[in-house]
Amino acid sequence: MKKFLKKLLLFLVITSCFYTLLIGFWGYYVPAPLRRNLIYNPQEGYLDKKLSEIEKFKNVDVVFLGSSHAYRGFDTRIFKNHDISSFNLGSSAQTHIQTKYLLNTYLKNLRPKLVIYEVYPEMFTIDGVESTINIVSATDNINSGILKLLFQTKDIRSLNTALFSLFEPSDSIVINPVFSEEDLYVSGGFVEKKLNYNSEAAVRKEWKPLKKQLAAFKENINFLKSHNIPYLLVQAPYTFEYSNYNRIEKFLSEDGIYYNFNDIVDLSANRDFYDDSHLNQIGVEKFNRELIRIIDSLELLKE
Amino acid sequence: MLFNSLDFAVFLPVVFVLYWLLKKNLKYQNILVLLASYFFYGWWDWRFLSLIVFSTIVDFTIGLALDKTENFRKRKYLLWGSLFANLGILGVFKYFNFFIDNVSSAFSFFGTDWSMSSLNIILPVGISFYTFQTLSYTIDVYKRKLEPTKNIITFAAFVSFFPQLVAGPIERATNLLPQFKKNRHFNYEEATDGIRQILWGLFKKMVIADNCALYANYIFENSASLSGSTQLLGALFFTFQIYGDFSGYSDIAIGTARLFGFNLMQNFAFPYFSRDIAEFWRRWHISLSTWFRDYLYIPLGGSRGGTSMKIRNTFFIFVVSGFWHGASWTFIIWGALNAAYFLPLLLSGKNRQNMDIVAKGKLFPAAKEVLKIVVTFSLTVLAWIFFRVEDTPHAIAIIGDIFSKSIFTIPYYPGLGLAKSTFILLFLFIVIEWFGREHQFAIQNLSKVRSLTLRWVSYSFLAFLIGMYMFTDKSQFIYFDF
Repeated sequence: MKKFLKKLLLFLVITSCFYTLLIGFWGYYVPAPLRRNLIYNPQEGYLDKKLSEIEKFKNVDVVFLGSSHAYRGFDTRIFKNHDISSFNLGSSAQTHIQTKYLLNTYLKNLRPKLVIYEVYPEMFTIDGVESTINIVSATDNINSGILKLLFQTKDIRSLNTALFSLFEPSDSIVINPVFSEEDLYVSGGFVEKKLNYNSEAAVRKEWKPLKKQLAAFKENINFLKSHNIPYLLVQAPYTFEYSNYNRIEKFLSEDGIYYNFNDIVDLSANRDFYDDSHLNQIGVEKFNRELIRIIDSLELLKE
Repeated sequence: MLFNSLDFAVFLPVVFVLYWLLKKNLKYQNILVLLASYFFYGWWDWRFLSLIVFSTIVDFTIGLALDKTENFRKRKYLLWGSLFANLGILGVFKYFNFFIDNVSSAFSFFGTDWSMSSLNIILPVGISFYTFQTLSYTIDVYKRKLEPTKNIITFAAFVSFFPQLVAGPIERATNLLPQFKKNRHFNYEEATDGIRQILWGLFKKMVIADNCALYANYIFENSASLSGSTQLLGALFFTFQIYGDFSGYSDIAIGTARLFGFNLMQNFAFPYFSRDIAEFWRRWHISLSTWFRDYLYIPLGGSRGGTSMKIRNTFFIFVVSGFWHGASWTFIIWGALNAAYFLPLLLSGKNRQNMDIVAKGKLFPAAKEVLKIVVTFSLTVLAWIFFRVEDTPHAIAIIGDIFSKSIFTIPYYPGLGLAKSTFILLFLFIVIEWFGREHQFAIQNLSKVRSLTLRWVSYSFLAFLIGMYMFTDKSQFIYFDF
């Protein structure tokens, strides 16, 4: 029995090393269609650029957190024009589990006066693998926060990405990208999409949140409260509706000041969006103007 | 709890270590197996544990009662009591809605309105498996092939033994129950071979079956807009899906049991290398085929009677086997089709001509054997279409398209390009299965490779393939539904 356990343990160690080496080999030398569960996409949502310039942003007025609705919805230039310095930490499909990691890792450097936490209901319903892969790809080293993130997402693709990142792939390496050339990265984390108009029909959805995302969201709120950082919960506009709208509203309004901009800004599903859930630049300007008006009226940035 | 889940990856080592810490006490070991098995099952839905407990108590009590009486009539009643209780549960949970729907359709066909709404019944996982296992106990005690056990813990552990509880192999009481009664000693060779078998089972399930399922599902769901050749490709994907899924589960189950010192029966013996349908059925889901043979076919007279009796019994056994898989006409037709394949062999006395594994001791089969394998495999693929579809017209439409001109076109569907890695893995899988076909499972012969480095590199590479190509969305085992 002891011999068996010892050998099994040794086998697991050797297999882990062998596995890691093969991940490196596969990432560099095997053709793309044959790298099924290996994704490496630091440039997704321009997260690599964002994290590389984050050191320059200290003591900002506002930090934005959330999904693509955040990094495509909060234009740091518009805020700057209103004398509000900001950094957009939104990233693709960022769920509350990843938000927790980003808060823990970057908030002490940014020291914001206000956090605008974008709470797209869909981000409560997904497991967060896509975003974990994105963050792991864009992070230079595997630290305890990344390990925790990997443990929470429990997905082989995230693990493979982390192992591949041990080989320090150069910036030019991207495996399985979801990347658009119609984007313009703006310093401070906003990504402007070339002006397009939405043609997708609106559908009715049902909100089915995952327990682990609800828990992570509550932890994030507690984190902000314990660090005395004022925050605003914001739903950026989208074109569809939820059948259980009241449940979403009730849940999100439990934990502080909450605004649902679907009910606040008058937008056209075709003219102001480029797809069913993302604003185009025309919509972004309307949305941001209204948000700044609310921030001013609540005097959230007053010393 | 699924074998291919992280939950099981934690559960198994914990139970394994606790179990062997108790090696000096058989009673405590059996209690641990019982508790672990109930925990394993309850992880899915604890409410349905009551059905297992009910089956256990009924058959344990009937077993004891059978032992106490020599009265033929009383013994018969007791057997019927067990059959009624076990098949009754199965009937309610699995076949009630099928019965209601068909009676209702029959009435409306004759112009009478008889409507009774079907119930929203959840099918308890593994009900067909453990029901048949407990029945085997009572029938064997009734036939005096087996002494009834007087220890409820031993019996309950036998009924609910977690490695094979939800998808078999369906163990005979005569094989498994005695193993619970004698001391078990840790055997290094058995345990390492068990791990090897688990690894191979995981590869079959997570890489082969789950990836094939992705493409098979797409093609079957969109068959109306696809060519005959593409639909045939879909049927091929399903053929490997169901084999990888079910035999993969069996390998994990058998391998897990070996870690605990138990030997379960082989459930699959490389069925797709069979040279005729009779051989296929000796190699596919062996535990179920032999169950039906021993407890239904032989009591019905088997193949001893005249031609009409042979035909009747063969059809009956295959149709019942189809119905066991699911409450749907498609399963019944699948069973009947296999009976139609099997009967010519039985009637011509050729059903036992291929008893040995194909090309035994040789590297490759003879051309004649290849032809026989291809024909048998093709017949199986056609039958699987009925197994996969929701209703009979869909199966007929697919078969119609396969036998149309469009079979000569190049298969195409959106996403076919993504299947490249699956084709390569399938090829690798078939090659490994071929070279391992004389063993209990395909990679068992790796244990004979002298170089430890080569052995470990092979296992590690297999583990890597699982990590790189496993299907990452949540997947269930097909046979959980049966």
